[in-house]
Amino acid sequence: MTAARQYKDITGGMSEAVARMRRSDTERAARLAERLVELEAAMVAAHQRAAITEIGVGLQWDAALEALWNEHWMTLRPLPRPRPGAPARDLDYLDAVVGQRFEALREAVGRRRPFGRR
Amino acid sequence: MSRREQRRDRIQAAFEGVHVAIEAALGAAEAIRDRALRAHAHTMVEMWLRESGLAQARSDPRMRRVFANPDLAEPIARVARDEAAAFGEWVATEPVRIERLVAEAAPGAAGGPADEWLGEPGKVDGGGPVPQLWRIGSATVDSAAAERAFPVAVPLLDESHLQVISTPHTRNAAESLVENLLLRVVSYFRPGMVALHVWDVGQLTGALPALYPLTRGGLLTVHDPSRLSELLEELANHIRRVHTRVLVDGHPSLRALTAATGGRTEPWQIAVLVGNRTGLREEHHRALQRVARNGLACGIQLVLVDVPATVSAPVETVTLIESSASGTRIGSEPPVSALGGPVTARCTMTGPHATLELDGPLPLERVTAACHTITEELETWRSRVATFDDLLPTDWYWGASSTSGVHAPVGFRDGLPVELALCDSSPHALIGGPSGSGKTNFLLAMLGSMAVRYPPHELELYLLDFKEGVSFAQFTPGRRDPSWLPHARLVGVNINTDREFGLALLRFLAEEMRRRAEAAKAHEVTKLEELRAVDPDGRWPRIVAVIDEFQFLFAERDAVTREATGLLEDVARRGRSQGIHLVLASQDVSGIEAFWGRPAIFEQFVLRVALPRSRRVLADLNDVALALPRWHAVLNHESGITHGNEVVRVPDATVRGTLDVLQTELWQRRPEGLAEPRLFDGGRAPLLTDLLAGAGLVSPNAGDATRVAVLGQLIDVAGSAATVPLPATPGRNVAVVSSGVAEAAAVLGAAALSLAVQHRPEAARFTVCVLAPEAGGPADALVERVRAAGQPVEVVTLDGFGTLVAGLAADVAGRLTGGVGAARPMPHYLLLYGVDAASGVLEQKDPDTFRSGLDSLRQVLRGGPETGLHVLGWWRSVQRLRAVLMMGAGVDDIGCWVAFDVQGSELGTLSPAPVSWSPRPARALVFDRFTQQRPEVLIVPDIRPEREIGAERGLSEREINPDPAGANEESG
Repeated sequence: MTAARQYKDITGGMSEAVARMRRSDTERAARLAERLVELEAAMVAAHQRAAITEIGVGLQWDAALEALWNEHWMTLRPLPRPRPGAPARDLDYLDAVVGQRFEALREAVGRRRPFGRR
Repeated sequence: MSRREQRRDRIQAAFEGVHVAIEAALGAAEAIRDRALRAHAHTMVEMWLRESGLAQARSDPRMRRVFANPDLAEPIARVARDEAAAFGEWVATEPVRIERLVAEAAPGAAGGPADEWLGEPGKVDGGGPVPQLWRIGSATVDSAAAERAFPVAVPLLDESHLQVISTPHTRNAAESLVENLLLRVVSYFRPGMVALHVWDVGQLTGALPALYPLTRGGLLTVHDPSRLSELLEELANHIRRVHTRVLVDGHPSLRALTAATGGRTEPWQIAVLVGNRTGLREEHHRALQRVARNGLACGIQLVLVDVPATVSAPVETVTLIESSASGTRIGSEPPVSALGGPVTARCTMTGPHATLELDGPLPLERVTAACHTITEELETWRSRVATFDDLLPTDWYWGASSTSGVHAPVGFRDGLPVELALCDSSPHALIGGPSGSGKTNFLLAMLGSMAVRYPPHELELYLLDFKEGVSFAQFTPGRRDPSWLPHARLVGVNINTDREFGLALLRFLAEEMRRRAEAAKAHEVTKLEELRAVDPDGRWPRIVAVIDEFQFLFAERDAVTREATGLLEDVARRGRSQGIHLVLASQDVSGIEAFWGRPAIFEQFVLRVALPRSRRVLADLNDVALALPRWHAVLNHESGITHGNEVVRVPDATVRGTLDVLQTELWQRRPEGLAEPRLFDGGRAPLLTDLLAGAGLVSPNAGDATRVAVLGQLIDVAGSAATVPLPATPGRNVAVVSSGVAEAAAVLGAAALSLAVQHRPEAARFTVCVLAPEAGGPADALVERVRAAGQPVEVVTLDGFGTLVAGLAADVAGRLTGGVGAARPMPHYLLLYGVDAASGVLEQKDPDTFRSGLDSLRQVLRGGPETGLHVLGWWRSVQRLRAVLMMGAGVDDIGCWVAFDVQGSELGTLSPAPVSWSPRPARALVFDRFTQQRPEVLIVPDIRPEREIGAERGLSEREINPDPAGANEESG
């Protein structure tokens, strides 16, 4: 066998490795494609659920501001920004917490007697 | 605290709580959204990368943002890890194997770092190991995590062509790749083993400028950009020449031939074609393909730079690319593209998954210095004086077979031997050179080189030298040197005026040609090669006939020239297929008048050899010979066309210790029973003893076989004796016409002595009549010798001549009219020395019979032979002879005459047709009307006794007669 032939045989090993890799990559890509469909749906769902929380939270905040309207002594604040680094916890739970806290606020505000005593 | 304050605190706290909760909720919402987004993006990116491959994705400009995004680093890293793992195994073990392979297959300058070889001329010659690979750079596997560079090398000489494809900005890198490669090749082999050609479509100068010092020695030829077709034709001619002259024994390639013979005689040719990415014209493309297809076997190598061409032959490709992607620098100073980025490449040796980094360009000054050194080394090598012994094969004699032709080196070019070939494609040779130009030396070198390679049964030599001098005589046994060239069958020297000898040789060759053609027909083949194949036991050597100064053969306008011209044309045309080769040498080829009407006579003389200052041997515009230095010759196997020129240096074969030593060795090895060559020396007379031996007339023949008189020697290849039979029939007399006695006495003496030997002692009667005074001495000598041979001799002088003639006439008349008992008891030979001197005596009339002596002589001539009385007479002029041959006698009574110094026209009726003859020293015209068609040239023999001849030559008694008691003792 000539030296050139031997050389090409050795470098041919490279191509074989590539071929093997390609084959497995193709398979994996196919599986990833399937997964991608799921992930896309999940992404849409997550987006929607997040939107629900955002909307709900916004409404709650507006209501809170509304409740505090007459409390002239309060410094009002805008809608809170999302806390950076917040863990992705169960939104249902967090929504419920928001609701509870809102109720607490309302209750705190509602203790005021109509035409309260001076 | 007041209740109001408490309330405010509570509200504040509750508000804060809501705030915090909303922050958390919103934060979580965003996180959830991000997480889903990221998962999706990662998966999508990974899918893309796995589909297209990391390397391709990296080079895709649309993916640049992806790779720049730190968020996506994870899937990218994962894919990269997988790829690295896939190559990991390969990278762990294979680069080492490649390194070892390249180290072995690319030794020395072929693969080593430049510091080790640049500047040193190479030493390896044609027989040395030819590297199978040549380094061009190093490579790494794309996407391999642990980068392990391995050397990249390409096959070149005898194996594969090289194609380099570059981009406008990487053209410089392409050129330095080619330059490095050529430097490696040129620095590996001995200077002269590799010839470079460069053609650049864009510029006459500029491609590979650092190599230009090589042009000085002819190692590099730069071709005109507009003359690509000429370069391609030159390469095609080289291929053709190698196939027809070098690869003759069936070897498929020069590499195979070198393996078989151990030495390479043809330098490699590397042709670099630099294009500009546009395709070649159709005809150039086709020519290039042909050269590519057939070139590798003939040592032609193509390196194509930006020449788009499909090549149906092994070819490796290096494609240069610019990449702005990072790649670790391997090696020092890699080439840089014109845009500033590193230049990488892909190569068919390494495949599409490895990136090749080319070795950097070498410093210009060092390259130029190396080229100068190489050129100087070449010139030193060229001026090395090559000797005759260098022409001889190193370890074998007589090993070659002449089946396909005769090939033998005759000189050197660049230290490599150059062969001369007499074969089917170049059957005959024409050699031209004025005196002193080395023509003789060339012939001797050629003959020596042939004789050492082919055994005598494969090659026979017939050598004629028309000019003065004895150059071919050395091939025959001589006084000082008893050896002779076993191949020589015939050697003719000092031919001078005996043009008939050249004619005789041509006749012999034509006859041999006919014989071979008939044998071929009998075996149902046509050529000598085929005949040898079907008749392996037969002896069918190739015949090489060398005629020096052959123009003398055609010098006169006569029958000899006419016949010789016809025979020459015949042998020239048909000799090729019968293995008969002519080598004609001359000072001046163009002056042969006889050929002026026949331009085609030399068209079979394909091989032309021109010595310095020769004219008209090569084609008209090919005037290389005029400027040749001494000891050189132009060898041209293409009928003299310029591109067939090979200038060779011819070694000295005339000096002592060269050809003579070789001849002695060959002579000692000659096969048993091989006869000596026949020597024709125009300057020496043939010995009568040799003629008699040749004719088988050394002892008396028994019975009544017809005796023959030997008069001299004919001019033919066999050197036959000129004999005239003397039976008892009318007309059997011999007349010699000469104004001088010496030559006539030689002929008469030869006749008498030959007759004396053929009769038993005392079985023949000789009468010698000394009629002319100057004949006394020779006649007496002859009388003595005839008596010594045992035959009775009667001597008569002028006084008694009249009586003798009258008596003989009466005797003849008596026998003719008498009865049976009148037969003569034994033949009677009457030798008359100077008949015309006796005319006074002969004219006297007998008073009784009124017959004159002349009448009696006429009667003797007319009636004598049938009674057994033969007259061998010498007349001093033709008119005197003719005066006798009238009235009672006729022209036909002299059956055979020998004429010396007469003009052909004077012979008149004695000759059947007008003959052109002028006196020549030691030559006569002989005509026997009973056996010959026309007069022929006779060589006067030397009839002196052996003792006398030997003494003259200084031989001892023993040498003269080594066998004193031999059975076949001759007179003398």
